[in-house]
Amino acid sequence: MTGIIEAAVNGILMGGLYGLIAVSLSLIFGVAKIVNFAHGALLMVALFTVYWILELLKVDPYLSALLAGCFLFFFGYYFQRLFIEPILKREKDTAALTVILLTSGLMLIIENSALLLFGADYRTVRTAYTGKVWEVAGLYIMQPRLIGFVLSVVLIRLLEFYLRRTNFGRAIRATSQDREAARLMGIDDYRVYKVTFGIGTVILGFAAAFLTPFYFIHPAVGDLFVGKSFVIVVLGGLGSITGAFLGGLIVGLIESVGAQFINSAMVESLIFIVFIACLVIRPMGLLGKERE
Amino acid sequence: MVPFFKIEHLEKRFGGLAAVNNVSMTIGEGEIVGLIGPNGAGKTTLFNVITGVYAPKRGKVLLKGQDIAGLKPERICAMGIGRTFQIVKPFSSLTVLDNVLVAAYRRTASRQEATDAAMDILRFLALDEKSATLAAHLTLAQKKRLEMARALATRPIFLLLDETLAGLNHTEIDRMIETVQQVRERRGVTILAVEHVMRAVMKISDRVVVMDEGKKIAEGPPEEVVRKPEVIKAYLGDDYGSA
Amino acid sequence: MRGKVACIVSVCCMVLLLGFGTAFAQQEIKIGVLIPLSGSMAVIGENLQMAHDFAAKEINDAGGVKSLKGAKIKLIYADTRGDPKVGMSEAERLIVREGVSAIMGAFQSSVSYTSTEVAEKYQVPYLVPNSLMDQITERGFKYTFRVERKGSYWAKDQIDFILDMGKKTGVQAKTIGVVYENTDMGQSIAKAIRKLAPEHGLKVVLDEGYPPKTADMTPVVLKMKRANPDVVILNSYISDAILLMRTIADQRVNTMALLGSSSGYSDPSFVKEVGKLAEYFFDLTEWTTDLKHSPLVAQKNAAFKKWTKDHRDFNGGAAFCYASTYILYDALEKAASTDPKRIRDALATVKITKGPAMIIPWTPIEFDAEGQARGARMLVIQYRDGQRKSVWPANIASTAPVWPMPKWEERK
Repeated sequence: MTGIIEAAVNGILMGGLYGLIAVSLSLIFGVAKIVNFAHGALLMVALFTVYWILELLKVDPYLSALLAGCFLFFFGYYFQRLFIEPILKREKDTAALTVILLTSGLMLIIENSALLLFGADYRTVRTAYTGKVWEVAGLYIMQPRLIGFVLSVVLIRLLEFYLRRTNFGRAIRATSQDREAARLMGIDDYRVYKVTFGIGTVILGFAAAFLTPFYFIHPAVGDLFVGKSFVIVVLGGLGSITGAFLGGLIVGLIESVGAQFINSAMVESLIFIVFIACLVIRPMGLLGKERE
Repeated sequence: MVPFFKIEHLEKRFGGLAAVNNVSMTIGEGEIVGLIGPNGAGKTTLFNVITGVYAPKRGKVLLKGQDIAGLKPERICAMGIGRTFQIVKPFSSLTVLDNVLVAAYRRTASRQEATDAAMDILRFLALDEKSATLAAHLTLAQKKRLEMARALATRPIFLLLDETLAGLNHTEIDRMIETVQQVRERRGVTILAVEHVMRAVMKISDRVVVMDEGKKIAEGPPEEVVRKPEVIKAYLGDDYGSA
Repeated sequence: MRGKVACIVSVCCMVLLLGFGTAFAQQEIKIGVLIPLSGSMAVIGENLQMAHDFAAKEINDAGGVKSLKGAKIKLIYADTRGDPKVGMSEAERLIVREGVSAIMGAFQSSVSYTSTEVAEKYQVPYLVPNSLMDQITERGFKYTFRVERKGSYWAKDQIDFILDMGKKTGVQAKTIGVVYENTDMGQSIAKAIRKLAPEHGLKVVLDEGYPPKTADMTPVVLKMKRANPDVVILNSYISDAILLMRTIADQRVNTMALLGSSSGYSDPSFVKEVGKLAEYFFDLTEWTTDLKHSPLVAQKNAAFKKWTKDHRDFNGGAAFCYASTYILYDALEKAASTDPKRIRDALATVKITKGPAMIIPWTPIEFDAEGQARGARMLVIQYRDGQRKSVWPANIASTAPVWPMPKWEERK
């Protein structure tokens, strides 16, 4: 029984990080309707950013998130500005498909550039939190995971506050719901897209900072998370922030608890079974809006 | 003197089809002009060209003498042209207040000012009690008023109304007519309104413009215009026109 | 008339010159090398590439292939991306477009399995230094040769080691767990262990294959903790090896021994990234730098270390790639030809007892009728102070093993 509880705790903690990564994807998709296949590559960029900040400045990994965030905002902003925006402007009707092709291509370019720049070495950072464990009632809870989870929850609350309560946040929500109407309200839609993309990559920066104390960094590391993120986003409801986070927790739980009962090679299939079942019952995802 | 609003030889094509074909018109400051015509006459397209959703193929759109044709919608909005939609498009997962705030913030960066302005408009349209409700939960009539509120929050000097009355019942229509008139009287906004409800058109319009198949076919005071044979023909077909 | 003669003479001269030109120019022998050079496997591929390059450089510096007038070996690399399908198309490209005389590769069993099929079709010899899936040499292919020991024998060696340690120390393992990446290589070892362990009185209490690209290893480790086997046999690539090792330490999973199956656990990144956590970890491997059977081991490793930019040691995979390049060189000398068929015949009859290929721990190097290296053997190392120290079998080992491993709580 303890083993199952331990697995559930771990599933929730890890699921929080899956959720955070998926929230970023969901935000970008929800607002700009961009299916970003380069998401994993951007996570990798975020991980390397955090890695280099930690290596060069030797700051606390959680502090590095703020520094990385500043850089990554502009990275995301200009990623959208330089690569995706021209396509949205030029191809009004077929842009969705072209953007998928474009982001897939960019993923390969970014990953291979990282391979050239940083080599294929696996890197890890030994921080003050690495390998630290809290023993609570016979359960081992890994410190960096718990901290990462708590901060993820805080970050998502902040993001929701930003979207709900601030001027630009409202503009983002308005644009995500009806781009044309938003433009007629005087909102510069392309600016909203750029800022949203920037916010999305900032979130990835935080996810990277939460992962780094117990994870490894490698040009292909994004591949481990990206497939899962797409499942989570659809499960949670396209464009829903809370839904994506909830989806992350569910996938984390299934993965961790499921593996205690069946072979972990089968757990992936289990995730997809739950995923399909969810879509049959609620085609719009857990917290998605009904289409009008 | 420079006219308040003027369109010159405007043309917009979709493929080979001229949705707006060589249309010209002038609107004076403070006027309420009704724009009528059968379905597919090009009224909504004309709105879309004026508000910058489409760039015209040819022609000018002059607001106080300045050509705004081809500018981006957010620019045109900033210059003082607002609009509502035929099919209501409130941001349904935002509250009523937030819907108006989105627009109000385009005019001011101050939270206080934006909120005050938004509440002011909501009071004006009798939506102040609903300010915390999600837009999705409003009735159709309320949604239409919210559209109007949102458009007004961008502080337009010229407002385009696209079938604000469609789908409303008698009482609601009367109330909306009153609202439109107040928008002009109390806020000094010039209005161009596409409308199918003839009773309303007759009542609110100073002048009526009739479009058919992308062209302007008639213009004048409401009572006169509806008696013109070409207008009757456009609405009812050839047989009636010759009868 | 005179002009015409002059013209013919000069044309003849040119033809002669050109003819001699080619005859005198140093010939090149094109050898294709299939390895993963991008994606998550790139770090492994690059390491193997260095070993091949180093061997080719030594051979060429020493005068090339003498029976072919000093022709140089030219290695042409093709990136498999770790994908069996890409492996096939790249093998075809190497043979048809590049016109290689032989191929080496492809590290991953699944890729070797498919790409050897292409070589067989085109009748080009294919020397497999590293892949261990049994079936690679069990399809009656004439052009496939493998240096590595078969996967099913690895399992036997691992069980032998566990039993042997029990006998020597009196601390006998009763239960065993097997945790592996759910790929051909992992399954091949796991299958053999499932069959062999019960025959030797070891009960398999955990049999866990995890999918490639697993982001979190904690579920697997928690399962390991609950099953509580005396010994866990692990088979992973690098990223999963790093994550597993860290999580096992985090969760304080104590066993008599953790026994790896080379690959990720023998990669230099593993000990570099997990650091102290790797202490006392056992690893079944084909090779290590401290082997005592031949002075060449120390010499060649030192030379490789000097030559590589980051001054790295050979690992097992790299040592076998290095040796394989020499085995192929030996066959080229014997064949005295760049014709694939003749190189194949030469490979089938090599019997190498000296030269740099002898860094691998058995003599002679020869292939049986299946194309499998006869006499291939494995050994076990233990990480001690960050070094891979050979501990078994005793006759070639440099160090005495620590069995059982100390508990996590007792370590500093």
